[in-house]
Amino acid sequence: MATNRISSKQIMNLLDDARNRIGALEDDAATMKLNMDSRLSVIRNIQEYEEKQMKELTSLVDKGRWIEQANKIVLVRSDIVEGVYDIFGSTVHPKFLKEPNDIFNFKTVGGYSFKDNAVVSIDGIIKPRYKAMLMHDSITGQDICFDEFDNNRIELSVKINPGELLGTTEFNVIEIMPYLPGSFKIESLDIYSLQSYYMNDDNPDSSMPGEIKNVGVCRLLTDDKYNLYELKMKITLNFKNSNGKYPFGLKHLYFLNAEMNTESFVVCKIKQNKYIDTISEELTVVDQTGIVETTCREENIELFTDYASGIGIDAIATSKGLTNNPIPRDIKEFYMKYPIQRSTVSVQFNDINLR
Amino acid sequence: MSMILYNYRYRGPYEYDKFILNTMQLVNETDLLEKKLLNGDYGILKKEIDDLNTMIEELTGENCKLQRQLLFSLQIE
Repeated sequence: MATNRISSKQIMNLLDDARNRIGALEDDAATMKLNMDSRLSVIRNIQEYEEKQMKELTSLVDKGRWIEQANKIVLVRSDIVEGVYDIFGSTVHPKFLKEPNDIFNFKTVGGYSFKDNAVVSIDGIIKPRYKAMLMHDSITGQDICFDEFDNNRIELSVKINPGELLGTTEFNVIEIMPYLPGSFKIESLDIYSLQSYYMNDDNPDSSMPGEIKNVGVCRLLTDDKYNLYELKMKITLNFKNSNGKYPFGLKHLYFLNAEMNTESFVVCKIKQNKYIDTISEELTVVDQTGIVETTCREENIELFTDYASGIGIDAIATSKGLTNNPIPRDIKEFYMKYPIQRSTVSVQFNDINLR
Repeated sequence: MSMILYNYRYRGPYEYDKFILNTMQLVNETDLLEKKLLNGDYGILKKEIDDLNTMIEELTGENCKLQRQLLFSLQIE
């Protein structure tokens, strides 16, 4: 019986295969080391930032600042008794009529699938792992978009490749989830549409009017729907870590196409520690565009002494200038019905006089 | 690792056998190394990365500690 003899070619193939497998193991080791380093860096910076924030908060509370801000209603933290709204992170916004579409992640029966047709750069440097911010959080095995920068001013850009469009890029909501909420501010946010790209127009189609301080987990609503070509954000980083670097990273940055309920509102119960005498007409709203000095009338805000079964009882007249409208009853709490037209963080009455 | 010298001119067939045996040994060693790493050090490393991912999930998100601190600071600033 003839013995099977291995040919020279088969020998060489075996050698090649062994060499490739050794190479793959080396690559795996290098990738795992990078993955581990980036994850450890995120954890280290989160812990350091948490500690710093905790110290600052403790110092503010010690100074009694908590009591002074009783006329400020941070909507997410407030006692919302009724409403048609959605909450995400720091923001309360008009209610989504149905689950919004994410332009970079399409939903399949098996979960989300990432449409890899964009380039993400920070300060003009393109790194493949920056794209992780566009991926849906549920997609496993994704990279970490987190870096430490020497400079505290950076520019983030997300640019679509119009030659490889995988479906529509129409959106009207930007959802941001940073690794370090509150550690940076967005100085400017410019949206460039595909229409402008095709028309060779270099001007942004939409720009955010103000700056957003202490950006946390939030959703920003655009003034209209746009077909995304490019988004540019100028960011100032406020936190310097012990290495003398400025850490920054986004866990996710989603571009959502949402239909919203235009009749959205919240009813908040606001408590004071003494009887309320007057409530000012003027107030300050902190929303996605920054700080807005406005009035109850402009915002269509209604105030009531009581609220039951969806109906406000005994409307409260606000006070402005010489027009003083003291509340005739002894009440320590009132209800505010606030129509939600945009992504809002807080409402602060300029004055709530107590007696 | 020193270089293996093959003296084909004088030892012909024996040297070819030596080459074949060395190649087979290299392939076997690669198999063993791969198995050892995947069942040992690499496996542990992969698990550690998974653990770090879980930790990051807990430290970040819509209702993470930093986000709660931020909301608290918005109330008092």
